[in-house]
Amino acid sequence: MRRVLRRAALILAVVLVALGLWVRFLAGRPVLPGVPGGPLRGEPASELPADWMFANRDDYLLVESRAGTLPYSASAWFLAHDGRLHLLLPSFFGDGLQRRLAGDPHLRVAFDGKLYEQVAVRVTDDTAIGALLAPVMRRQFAIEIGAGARALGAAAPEGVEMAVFRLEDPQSP
Amino acid sequence: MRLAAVALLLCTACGPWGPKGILPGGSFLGGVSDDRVSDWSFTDQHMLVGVETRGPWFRHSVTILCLSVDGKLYVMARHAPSKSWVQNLGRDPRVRLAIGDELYEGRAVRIADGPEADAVARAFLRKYVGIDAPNARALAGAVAEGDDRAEVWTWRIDAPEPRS
Repeated sequence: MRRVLRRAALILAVVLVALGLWVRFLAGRPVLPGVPGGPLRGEPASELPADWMFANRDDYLLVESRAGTLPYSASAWFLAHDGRLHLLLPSFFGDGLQRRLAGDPHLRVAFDGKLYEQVAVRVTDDTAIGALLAPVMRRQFAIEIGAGARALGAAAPEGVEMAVFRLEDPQSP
Repeated sequence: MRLAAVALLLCTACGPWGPKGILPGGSFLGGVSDDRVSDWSFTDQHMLVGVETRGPWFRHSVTILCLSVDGKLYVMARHAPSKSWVQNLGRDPRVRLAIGDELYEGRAVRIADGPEADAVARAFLRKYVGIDAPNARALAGAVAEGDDRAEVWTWRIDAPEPRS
């Protein structure tokens, strides 16, 4: 009996390790919500879209940062606005991607099997953030923000923040 | 590998333990707090709580967001109709909540659109997004075709039915 249990525990451990490796390195995209994935799978795009508004048909954007030791991919809230992609990273989803973007703003976006290089630029203007948040809150949480909304800033509950980044094309060499 | 992932999820969802992060769990271990809570505002300190619902065969628990408004406690579900714990609530509204180190019993009462749902929406924006939106309102009910908003359902957690 003990031998059977030991064997079952070993098999479970092997399955767990294999699953972890697959999720973190081999799946080609983040598989579980809230758990980062590895390098995104796809063909490098030959050209960058001038207008990203078509991307709004998806609920989440697949992004990959190479700022850390290991590639780190996540599915993030986003909105294409004024032709550019914008990432919205609420603190309650964790700050893994935000910390990496602070170290290296270059990232890769996967869309329809293609990989696009982009550079994240932090948006700090409250009016611009309000304009971006309204459609995202409606889409993700069915809330109409309405007029008069303002960022709480320092008055927000401790640790609560919505970091917003506009994605720009990388500079040509 | 996908099969292994599904099998592992099924195992964790039936086990005699609560949810672990994004992984669902089974029945909570431990006794329920004897204190009858009249003011849930202390939950503002907790970004995530566990909720245990009663399925047809097993108890099922997940990690969710919670909000307090005027001392009452609310929980929300995005893409609600597809979630197992939401379907369980439709059959049996009895819940247990894991908040911090304590377990509490309650009864989930779904709220429709209106001032109560709007107040919850404003509390959500304040607690989780960091914005004050005095005119925010919740869009409840089924989603019309072509509308890309998520279907969000909200429940107020009332005191449990007295034991007979």
